[in-house]
Amino acid sequence: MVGIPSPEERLSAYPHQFSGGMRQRVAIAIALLMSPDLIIADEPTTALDVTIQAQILSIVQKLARDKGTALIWITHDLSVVAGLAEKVSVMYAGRIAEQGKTADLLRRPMHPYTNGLIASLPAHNQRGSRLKQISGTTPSVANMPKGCAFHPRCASATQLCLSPPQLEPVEGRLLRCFHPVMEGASS
Amino acid sequence: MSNRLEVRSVSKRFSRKSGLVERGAEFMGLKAPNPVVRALDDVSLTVAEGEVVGIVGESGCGKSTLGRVVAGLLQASEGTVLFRNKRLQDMPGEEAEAARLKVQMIFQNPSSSLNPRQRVREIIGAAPLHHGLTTARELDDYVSQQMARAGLDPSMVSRFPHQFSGGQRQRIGIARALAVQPDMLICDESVAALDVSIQAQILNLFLDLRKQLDLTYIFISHVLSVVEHISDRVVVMYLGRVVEEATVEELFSHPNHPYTRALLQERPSLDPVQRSFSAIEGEIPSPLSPPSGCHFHLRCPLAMDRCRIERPELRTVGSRHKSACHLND
Repeated sequence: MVGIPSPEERLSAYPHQFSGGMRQRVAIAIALLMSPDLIIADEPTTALDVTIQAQILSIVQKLARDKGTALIWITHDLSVVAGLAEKVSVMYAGRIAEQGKTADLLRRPMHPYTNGLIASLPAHNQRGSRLKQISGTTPSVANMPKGCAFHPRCASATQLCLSPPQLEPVEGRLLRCFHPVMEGASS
Repeated sequence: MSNRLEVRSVSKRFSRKSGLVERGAEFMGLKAPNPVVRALDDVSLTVAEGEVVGIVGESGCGKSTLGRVVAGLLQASEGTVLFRNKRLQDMPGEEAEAARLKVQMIFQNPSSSLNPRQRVREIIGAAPLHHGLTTARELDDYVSQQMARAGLDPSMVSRFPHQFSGGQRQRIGIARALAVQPDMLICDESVAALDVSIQAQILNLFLDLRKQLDLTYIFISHVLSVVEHISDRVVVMYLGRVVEEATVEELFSHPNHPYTRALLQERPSLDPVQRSFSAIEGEIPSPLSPPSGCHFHLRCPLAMDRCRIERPELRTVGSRHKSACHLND
């Protein structure tokens, strides 16, 4: 079912005799054993090559569709999310920054962090030009900035951002920001 | 443009050395010789002065081995590497050392490529001090300069690697490589371990340094969008061989080899369309027993009988565009 050729022979094989893609298939098979309603996948394709990643994604997509399994896919790879997920939550420093329908959210990011992430992808910049970058680094968990955790790196931060913003519904999505990006033009 | 570097039909084979008893057994035909991994199989590559050449391919295709052979960390089993049209072996000792110093490598994992027990001063300063590029008295100033150039705060010179973030550690690796004043950098998956926002910062640093210092790069990565962004020319490798090379515009607009086309097709994109992932069948075969003929024929949707028998030559299919596929005949 997960696409391992000649499964009868492979039953007696040890994990080290499998390639990375095959091992990930075994892990998926284990997760499916009890026909769960929900599968949580934590960066399952990050270590794999593009062609193998595409194979795993196609299996997962097919299984979820055929069996009606819900899927939470944890990843830092926006392009995987774009092809796979219906809804997406963007997290920053322990909080959800923005949550909404994938297509809408990626096309028109409203949180400055999501916007910055998408703008910094090489594919969204002219070849050979400097990439748009988010300045600074993720704060350490022990030493969180006051208010909105993103404000030290945010271009549109003001005094207001020193108090914590709430996750509120805005235009069909949830957003935690005082100064949302309204155009979404930068990507 | 003159050649900064030329790799001429280089092969690299790895195998385990047999012990005395094993050699005896092999001699008497009781034991098969140890298997040989052909990591590089007759690979040629030229890099012009100031050019950025990207090398892409899946894991196990030999791209890192190629980088290491060029950097002098590995000896080629066959073939030659020329630095400005000269072989290292033909240079007098001092000149060969200087030529090797001019090519530096930046590694994938910034945590494991830095000595955890050394302070940044030692990590960056040891090599230039040894090679006489600075003196013990001027070392602090020299290290500060290198750190500032790589975007690090020079006041952190006495810290250990673990006190830095991933992006900063990669900057230490870059400062260390640049401290011996190279004119060529080999970046082996240098942004693969970094988050998207940090990746953009490091790529910008590479672009800035290229302008400031007239650097030549070999940029090894399996992430196509990164290679597309930074490279002038791209080389696609599959299982130890070069299957296609072209300028970046040409390769991404007119890929010729079925493998390149498959790679580009499977490139994840941000287009927020629900698409179904279709996959090239199968996986990379083991380099211990590569398939006959064209290495890609087992996974190629267009494979013919000829592909199973005859190895395709890398031949010109357009201006500055070469591909190794029988379909071009």
